[in-house]
Amino acid sequence: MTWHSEPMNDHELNELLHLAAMNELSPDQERALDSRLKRNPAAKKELEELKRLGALIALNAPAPLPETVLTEARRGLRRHLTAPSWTVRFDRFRTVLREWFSPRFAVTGAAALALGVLIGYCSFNLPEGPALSIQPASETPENTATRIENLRFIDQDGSDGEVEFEFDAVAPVRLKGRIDDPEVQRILTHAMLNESNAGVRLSSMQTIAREAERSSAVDTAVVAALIAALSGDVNPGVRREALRVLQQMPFSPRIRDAFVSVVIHDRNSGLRVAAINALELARLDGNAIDRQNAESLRRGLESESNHYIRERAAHLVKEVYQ
Amino acid sequence: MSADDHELIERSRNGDYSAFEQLLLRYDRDVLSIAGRYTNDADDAKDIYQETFIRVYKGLSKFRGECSFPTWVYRITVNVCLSHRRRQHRRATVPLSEGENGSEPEGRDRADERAESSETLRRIAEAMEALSPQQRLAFSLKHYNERTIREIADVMECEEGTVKRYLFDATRRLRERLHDLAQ
Repeated sequence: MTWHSEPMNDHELNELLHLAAMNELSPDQERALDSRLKRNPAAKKELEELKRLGALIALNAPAPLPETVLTEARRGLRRHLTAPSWTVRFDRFRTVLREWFSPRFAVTGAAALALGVLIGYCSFNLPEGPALSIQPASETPENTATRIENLRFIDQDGSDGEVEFEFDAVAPVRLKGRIDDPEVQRILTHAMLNESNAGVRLSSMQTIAREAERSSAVDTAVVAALIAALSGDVNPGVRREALRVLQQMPFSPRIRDAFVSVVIHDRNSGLRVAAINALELARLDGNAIDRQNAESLRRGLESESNHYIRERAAHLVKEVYQ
Repeated sequence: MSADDHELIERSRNGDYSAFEQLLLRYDRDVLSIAGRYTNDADDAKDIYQETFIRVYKGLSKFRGECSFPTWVYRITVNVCLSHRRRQHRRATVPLSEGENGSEPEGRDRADERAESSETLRRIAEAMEALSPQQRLAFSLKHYNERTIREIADVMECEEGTVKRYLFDATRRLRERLHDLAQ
C-alpha cells in the first residue's frame, strides 16, 4: 500500500502514530504521517504524548541483570544437565524395582541378591587398598552438621498441613588419595567447573594440570572440562589458566577449535591475544588450523578491533589457503 | 545457520556436552536478558533460563534447521516465558536501577529525587504486571530488548498484526495507568 497517495482513516492514523513512536515506520508511511501531522495538531500532540510515554518507560527500564546471575544460571544448568536429580534417580530406581518384583524376575533377583551379598562380604574382608580414603572432614561435634543449600519450594501452601520442597544436602567430606586416581580427578574436575569461588576453581585446575603435564595420556573428560572452563568461566584468570594448561596437553582438533572460539568470542582482549599466539605456536609445531577454522576466523574477526589479533589471524588464514 | 553452529549442534547431538556449552555461550546472554527484562526478577529469570536450555538440550535431536538456531532458541525462550509461573513467595518487585546502590551520604534534594525515582519504578513495574503475558512480553522485547516487530512476530510465531495489537493495547493500558508521569 502506498500510504501517501490514499486517504487515511482514524484507525490508520492511530496505527501510524503508534508505529512512529516505536520507530517502526517505513519511508512511505513516514511521508504520509508527516503530511497528515502538518494538517492535524491533535494528532501531533498525540504523537508527542506517545513518545513521552516511550521515553519514560525506556528511562526506567529494569537494570540489566548482573554478570553473577548469568554465572549462577550457567552453573545451575550444568549441574542439572550433567548430574541427574534425586527425583530422576528415584524414578529410575522405582522403575527398576517394579520390574524386579514381577514374578518373572523374582527368582533371578533373589539369586543376584545372594550373590551380591557374597561378593560384598568377600570384598570387604580383603586387606585394605592404599589408594583412596574418604572420611568426614571433621569428627568434632561442631562441624558435623549437614549444610542445606538451594532449597526450592514445590508446594509452599501449608493449609493442608503439608509442604513439599527439594534441597541439596551437603556434608563436609575429607578425601585423601593419589592424584592419578580417577575418583580424585572426577571430584577436582567437578570443582573446577562448579565451585563458586574462583580461587578454588583455579587451584583445582592447577592440581589437575600438574598430573596432566606429568602423564602422557590425558583423560578426555579432563580435556572437555578444561575446554568448558576456557569457554565459559566468568573469571578471565581461570580462563587464562585453562588455556595455559590446554597448551601443555597433547594437541588435538578439539583443543584447536576451542582456541579458535576464544579468538573469536572471548570478551577479554588479553585472552584473545593469548589464544591467537597459542594457535601460532601450534602451527609452528605442525598443527595448523583447518579450512573450517580459517573460515570461522575470517568471518568472526571482521569486527575485531585489535590490530595485532587481526593481523595474526589473517596470517593463519592465509597459510591455510596457500 | 552458521557453519559453526551446525558443527556444534552435531557434536552436541552425539553427547558432547562441551560442544553444547560452546553453543550455549553464544546465545545464553540474550536468553537471560529477555527473561530478566520480562520477569524483572533475577530468580524467575534464572528459572526461565534453565527451563529454556533444558528444552533446547532435549530438543536438539528434533531441530531440523527450518529456522536459524538462535531463532529456535528464542522461540523456546518466549514459550517458556509465557508459560512461566512466578515463584509464589515473591510479589512484584521494584527494579533496582543502575547506580542506585551508592552508599555516600546524600542531601535532602537527592533523597527526594531517589524516593521519586523509586516510586516511578514501582508504578511502572505494577503497570507492566497488569498487562497480559503476551502484551508484556511483546512490549518488553520491543522496548527493552530492542527487537523489531518483525523479529518479535518471528519468535512469538504469530503475525506482525498480532504483535502490533499486543503493543498498541499494552501502550494504551500503560498510558491509562501512567498518564500523570508521562506529562
